[in-house]
Amino acid sequence: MIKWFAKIQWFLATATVLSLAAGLWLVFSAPDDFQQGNAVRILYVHVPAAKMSLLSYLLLSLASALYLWRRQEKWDILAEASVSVGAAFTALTLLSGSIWGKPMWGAWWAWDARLTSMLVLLILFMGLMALRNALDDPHKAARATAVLALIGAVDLPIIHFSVVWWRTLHQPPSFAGPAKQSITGDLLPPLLVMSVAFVVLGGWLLVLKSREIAARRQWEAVETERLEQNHA
Amino acid sequence: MPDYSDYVWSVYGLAALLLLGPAWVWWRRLQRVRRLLQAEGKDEQ
Repeated sequence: MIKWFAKIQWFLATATVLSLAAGLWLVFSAPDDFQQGNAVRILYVHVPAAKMSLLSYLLLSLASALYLWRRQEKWDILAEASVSVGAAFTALTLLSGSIWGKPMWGAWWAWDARLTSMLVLLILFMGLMALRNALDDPHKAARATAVLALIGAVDLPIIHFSVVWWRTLHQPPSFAGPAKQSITGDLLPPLLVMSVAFVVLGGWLLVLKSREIAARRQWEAVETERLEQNHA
Repeated sequence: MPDYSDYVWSVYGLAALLLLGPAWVWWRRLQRVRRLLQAEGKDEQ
């Protein structure tokens, strides 16, 4: 899998540059929103970042389940990479939401169900990183983080349905398929293209981080082997 | 309508920092480890 990652990395890097360039061109040529003014441009980063946060955790859950089932290292590498990529997107989601919230809601933060469940997601990602670093035995670390990741997956439906289940300050979904669309046509193309660009960017980051983890582990194995030879 | 450009540019700057910053660090680390592996006569697996 890692060798295949090395092959597709440059394709993903090129696709990231092209899709981001197209997305940014659409973002800055789209009209302002009649209520939000140019602050609507924050949402072209915030919404795709939020979708990537959830997608990263979904991938983490899948890789963790596959690791616990098959005990193949490649799934643990993918899980570790998903945590790093997911944490970056979740931090961006929370910070961009906060920066949008100040002019629109008059507050940087509200203990709203959607915001709080997203904060829990960031804490989960950081907890998974801390847990892996705290355990010396890599097999134990892989098992423990996989189990914690699967337990934490309960946060995903809570995040998704929080705006439906509870009365929240955060708005309900603006785009949940053509039938339930509440976003005006002018603002849709930049949002869609930026969403695609973030998926491609997330894929590239995941490939890069997975290669870095695999190479680091390979080097650690070489060093361990050398130490054992020196002791023998 | 007020101008929210400062907020907008803050978010785009933050996005570049949070997403491309780690990518740059991971890329540097990958190249460093690959060089170490090559010095040992091993290829990245």
